[in-house]
Amino acid sequence: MYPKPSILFSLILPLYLTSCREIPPIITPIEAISSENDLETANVLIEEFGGVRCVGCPAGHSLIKELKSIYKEKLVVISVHTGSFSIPYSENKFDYRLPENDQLISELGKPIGYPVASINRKIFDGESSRMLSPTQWPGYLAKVISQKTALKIEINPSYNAGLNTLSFTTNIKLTRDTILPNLYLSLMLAEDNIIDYQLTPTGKQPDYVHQNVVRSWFTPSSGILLSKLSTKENLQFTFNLTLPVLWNTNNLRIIALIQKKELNNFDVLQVIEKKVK
Amino acid sequence: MPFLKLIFLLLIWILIPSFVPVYGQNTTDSNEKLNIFGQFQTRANFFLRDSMIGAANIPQYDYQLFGSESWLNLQADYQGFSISLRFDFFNNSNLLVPTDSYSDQGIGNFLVEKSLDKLTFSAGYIYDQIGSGLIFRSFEERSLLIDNALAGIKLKYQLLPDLYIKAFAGRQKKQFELYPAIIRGFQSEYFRSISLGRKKLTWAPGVGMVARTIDDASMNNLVSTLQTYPASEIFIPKYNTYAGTFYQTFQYESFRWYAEAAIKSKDTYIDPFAVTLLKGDTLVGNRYKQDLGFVFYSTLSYATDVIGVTLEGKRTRNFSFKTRPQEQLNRGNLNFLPPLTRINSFRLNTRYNPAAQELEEWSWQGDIQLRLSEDLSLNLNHSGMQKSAEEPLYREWFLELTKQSENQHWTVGVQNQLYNQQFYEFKPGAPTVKTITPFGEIEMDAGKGKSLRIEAQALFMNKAKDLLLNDYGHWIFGLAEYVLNPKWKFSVSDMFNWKPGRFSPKNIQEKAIPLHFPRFDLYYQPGNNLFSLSYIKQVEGVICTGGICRLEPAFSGVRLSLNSSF
Repeated sequence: MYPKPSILFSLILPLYLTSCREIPPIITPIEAISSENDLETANVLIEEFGGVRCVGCPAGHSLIKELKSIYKEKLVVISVHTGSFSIPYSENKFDYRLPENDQLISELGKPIGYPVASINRKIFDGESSRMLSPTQWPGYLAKVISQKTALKIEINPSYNAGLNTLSFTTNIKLTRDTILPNLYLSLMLAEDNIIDYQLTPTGKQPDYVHQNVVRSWFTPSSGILLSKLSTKENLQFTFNLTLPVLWNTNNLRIIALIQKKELNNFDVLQVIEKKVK
Repeated sequence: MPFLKLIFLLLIWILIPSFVPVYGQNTTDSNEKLNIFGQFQTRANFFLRDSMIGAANIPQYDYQLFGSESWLNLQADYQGFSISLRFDFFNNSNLLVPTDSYSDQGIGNFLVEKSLDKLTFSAGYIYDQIGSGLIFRSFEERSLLIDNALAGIKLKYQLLPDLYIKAFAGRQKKQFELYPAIIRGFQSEYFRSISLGRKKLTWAPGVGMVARTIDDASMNNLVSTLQTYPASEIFIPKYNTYAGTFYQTFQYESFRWYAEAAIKSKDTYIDPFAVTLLKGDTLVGNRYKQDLGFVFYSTLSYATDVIGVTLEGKRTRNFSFKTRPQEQLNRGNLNFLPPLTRINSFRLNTRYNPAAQELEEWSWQGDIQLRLSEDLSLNLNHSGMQKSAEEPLYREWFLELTKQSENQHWTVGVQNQLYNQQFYEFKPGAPTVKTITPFGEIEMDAGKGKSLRIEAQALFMNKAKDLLLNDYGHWIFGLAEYVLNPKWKFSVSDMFNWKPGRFSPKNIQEKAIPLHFPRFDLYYQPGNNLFSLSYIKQVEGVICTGGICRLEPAFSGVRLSLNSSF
């Protein structure tokens, strides 16, 4: 004979597991946003980490292309070649590795696998790492895409075709009175449409089109500390670089980003890009 | 504040009856002594950079140079209470992410347990499983830094002497934090013994159910991702997923039959092999999907003094069950799918390990243990894994003979493996690996606590159409271990890549070179403390522990470890 409390207990337990019919979330396919940029709204940076030996990276590149078609200029993408997957094949035209790339991934935290990217160098709630797998990119991108900023960055490039040199100034100021301490500026050069070898799920592909590849850093990857910013006067920096002849100047972009650095908070507050030509 | 008052009254109502029996139990058990026992484990790695074998480009090799992990377990039993506590320390450790450095410390586990009549309750970090773990298993696998403890409560009630029910609720542990998803479960097991004349049939059925509710942040992230999918691929994700299982064991004389069937309601998971057409691009890789899932698993065994036969089979479909859909690899697993492959122990026999597949798998294993004479026995094993009826993923044939005499123990055998490296290690274009690995071991007892053990193995690799040896090519391995007395033990071994293959490390002229991977170990065990000092060069490879696999990079360095129990 079962004792009475036991019967009750066994009847209650299954109820503990069941629940009423749930109200599902609403999914509405996202449409491309307006390409006009509101100065008060910050752009979003996606830093994708990988290399020519990263077999999963082309899938990540396709997803980034899809996200770029939705968010257009609001989204600034760089592809950082680093780690063991970035060691070039003997057939590669270029070695895309840079010491600054290695420093950057060391600072942001190495991932458990590739492809991987950080969004605004932010550790999102519920995550223990900045490194996000592709399935997480759209979700966290949507979370920060309307983020406001009080920072205005301008890049004014000047390219000398004869000497193949690039010179540019970066102007930074605040758009409203506020105090933003511990800001760091990072500047880099990225190149698009490089045709070179890449490992893909079908093998080594010789004519893979590499996009957003970081070619050079003008600052340390950890950035340079900015002095006090104001709404009136620009904080100005000037940089010069002689470009290697094999780089296609038509496909080069200068990227400037400003990030916070407070304890473990490295959030990017604003990022902009400007074509060299 | 009527609501708060109501909550307060509710708490009083719950707590008072809980404490009264505890007090009563204390009185009856007042003679019990306090027992405290525990274990301490520490491991310190001194990293020595060796870019030739791939032990480089991670912080430990490049500039940190040192990393360590330590665990201190304490358990106290007193008057029916059992309290356990574990401190975890990680200093520049490469256990969590083999390519990165992890530092943190804190209480890795605490648990309070108490039995009151037929009820046992537990609160804290709980390790448990339902059936063979198909729908729920919370466990710790220290060598891979997996700790899937459920932080919550568990109640177990012995309804009848041969019937119990169990319920639990909580959240999964994530290092020193918790995942936000709520997990709850129920399990009941029964045992029946039936006499059939002089013989006895036993039947032990069990049933379990687990439910998981995704947190809002994870759902919002999932929804935002699905919004970017083409309309044909969009689905409505579920907050709640339910998994149920029925399992049973029949035992009759020398026969034993275990069978388990588990199903899972529609759940969102990542398909790492999804093929998607996206604006002209063919995208192969992670994509969210939602499906029903199931696993069927069965083991039939027959064992006498002379022969032991085991047959196992498993069919898995869409059974990735994680604390949230965003988790990948070995992170956030709520369940455990047992691998149906032989657990090998010799170094070269363990070079290729197939991980159990969560989304699509047919697997089987047959094992015969035969005692040929008083001192001679034979083990024949075959296992296989298949994703579909097409190309095989894994096959293994294993034959081993062991001979035991008064002071010598001989083992000889051969293993034949087929391993789809392209699939398991996601290496495009990697041809299927086929190996033949003969092995032998002799252990000689020299008396007075002295003994010598010698191992020898060779791995012969197949060639692909381009006439290159696959993966790392041919290997040989030798080991000598000498036990001087119960306190001191020495071991020296070398794994030599004598005929390098297509993926062997190459020099600057892009030529694969034969490399040695030596290892020296010194063990000292005075009493309950075991010290070891090792110099290790270890090749990269898939490391599996208890069926959980991970691609581990090469290791080069000195390791100092201590294991103590008290």
